[in-house]
Order: sequence, then structure tokens, then C-alpha cells
Amino acid sequence: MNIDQLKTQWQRFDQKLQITQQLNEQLITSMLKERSRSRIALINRSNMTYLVLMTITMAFLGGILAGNPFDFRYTWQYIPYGILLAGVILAIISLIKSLLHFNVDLNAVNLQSFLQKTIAECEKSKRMQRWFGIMIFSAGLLTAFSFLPKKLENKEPWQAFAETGLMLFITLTIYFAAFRLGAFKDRRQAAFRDDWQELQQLRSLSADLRNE
Amino acid sequence: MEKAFMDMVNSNRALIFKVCSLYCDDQEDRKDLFQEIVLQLWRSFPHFRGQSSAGTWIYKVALNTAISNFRKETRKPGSKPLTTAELEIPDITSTRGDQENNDVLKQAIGRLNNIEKAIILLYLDEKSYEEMSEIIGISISNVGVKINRIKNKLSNLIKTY
Repeated sequence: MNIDQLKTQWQRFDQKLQITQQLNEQLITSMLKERSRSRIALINRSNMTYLVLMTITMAFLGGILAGNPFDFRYTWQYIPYGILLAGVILAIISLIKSLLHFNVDLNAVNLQSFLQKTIAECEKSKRMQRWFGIMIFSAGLLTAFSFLPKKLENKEPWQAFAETGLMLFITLTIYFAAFRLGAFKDRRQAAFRDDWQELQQLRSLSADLRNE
Repeated sequence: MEKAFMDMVNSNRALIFKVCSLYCDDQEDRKDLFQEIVLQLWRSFPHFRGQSSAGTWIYKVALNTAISNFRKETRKPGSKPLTTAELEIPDITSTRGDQENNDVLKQAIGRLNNIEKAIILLYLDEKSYEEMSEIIGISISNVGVKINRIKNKLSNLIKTY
């Protein structure tokens, strides 16, 4: 078999496809009702979920900073919540920007620019998730220290430090247990690995086009 | 708009079938990809103003979807889409003619990477270099270079069967 024979074989396949039964309206309509499982749709859905969560978190943190429900006396006690709020605001801005700008018109983009855009968005989305995870972790740890002044006022110093240490230990244990029990692993790790592999494939395809 | 869209999809269904056959081995995957392509076409349909031919537009959307925009998710039990029962996308190996040639064609194309598949699809469908350049996003001269390389690769692959 040579290239010409291959072409002839392809044309036979094409002829077979041309005479396939027409798709009925009901079938096409049912397809349009399905939720998209495309890469972009998934990123946008994930961004939308994060946006809702961030907005709720922002309202909650705003309430803590404005209402002082823990009777904080010193400004530094607010630092963990302040850091978290600043991070949440930045995340909201970034998510809104992503939702507004990642509206790719498939009609207007060729394969190369589409690959580049998708890669950029995948990376941005992953960076955001990683960054927010680190932020939650650090804020969780720092929060234990916010309650230290009140403890020092009411208890012996050793007791106050011991309780703070215990709080830190409990926080770390919860994070560790959650990690070990697969709270992150089962649901996300396989997905992260797939994402990473997919991203590598996209990168090599994009490089393949760019290098010519 | 719906009627015009359905007519357009129907008259170009063979083109979408070819993309699905090229990128998916499994019948269920082909159906899923077909559905995703139709969905993406519908979403970009309002922006299609006929600057390029309907074929070029469909190729763009279908290849973008097949290569970088399609991610297989495990479907929950009971959420089987309606399309699976009613849609049948022929496989290359079921084509009339020499079965051995069908197998060679399928296996040889299967050994190409996703970009090479896209280019060879356009070449086999006798698209002009200009159209290929517009769909893929590389220069016309690079289209020629790419096609020659893929043809050589295919020739070598065919020889091994």
C-alpha cells in the first residue's frame, strides 16, 4: 500500500460517511442540552465555583474584621484574617478576569492560538488553586496565635502557650489526617495527575506547531 | 437559527464523523466527541458570519475540540446521553474494500500525533494549503513541509505492515 492507495481508501470511507442517515432534530437538540465536558467549560465551571466560595469567604472575613466577634485587642491579632481577606479579594479579581476574558470564540481562533490560550488558562487555574491552598494552610496555622493575648490575660503563661501549642497541633493534625485519609488525594490527586499529563501533551503539540 | 444550524450540521456530518473516527478508537468515545463538537459548534454558531466556508469553520471548531478541548470524564451511572442509542459513527475499518488496506490505514493514522492527524485529515480531504494554514495556524510554506514529513512518516509506517 502506498500514499495514493491510502488516499483512495480514505475517499471510500468518506463516501460511506456521506450516505449515512441524516441526524434528526430531536437528536441534535438532545446533544445541545447536554452539559459541555470540554476543557474550557470545565475551567469556567471550576472558576465559577471558586468565585462563589470566595465571595462567601470574603463576607465571612469582612464580618470578623468589622464585628470583632473574638474580642481582639491588638491589630496584629487580625493579621491572619487580613492576609486571608487580601488573598480572597485578589482571587476574586483574578477569577472575574478569567471568566470575562476566557470566552474563546472558536470561530475566530486557529488550532495554534487555541492551544496557547488553553495552556495559559490551565496554568493560571492550577496556580490559583495551589496558591489558595497554601494561603488557607498558613492562615489556619496563624489563627492559633490570634487568641494568645486573651489567654495570656486570663491564664498562666505556660498554660496560654500550651493551649496555643495544642491548637496548632490540632490544626496540623486535622490537615494531616485529612491528607492521609485521602480528602485531597482521592478526589483531586488523580485529576491533578491527569491535568498535568494533559498539559504536557498540549505543550508538546503547541511546541510542535511553533517549531516549524 | 436552529433550523439553519441543524441543516449545517447535517450537511457536514461526514466531516465531523471523520474527525471523531480519527481521534477516537472506541464507539462510545466517538459519540461523546461528536456531541461535544456539536455543542461547541452551536455555541460559536452566532459568531459565524461566513468569512470562511462552513467547512473551514467546522474543521476549526471540530479539530480544536478534538485536540485540546475534549476531556473525557467518567460518566455517572444512569446519566447516559440520549445520543448513544441513536447515533452510530462508522469506523474506518468498516469501509468497503480490502479489509487489509482498511486496517493499514487505521493503524498508520493511529501512529500519528494529534497535530499530524489534523494535517493529514485536511490533506486527505483535499483542502488547499491556504485553508489548512487558516485552520491550523501555521504558514502556507510550513503546511507543505509538514505534509511532506507526514507523508514520509506514513510511507515508512505502511512499509512496516
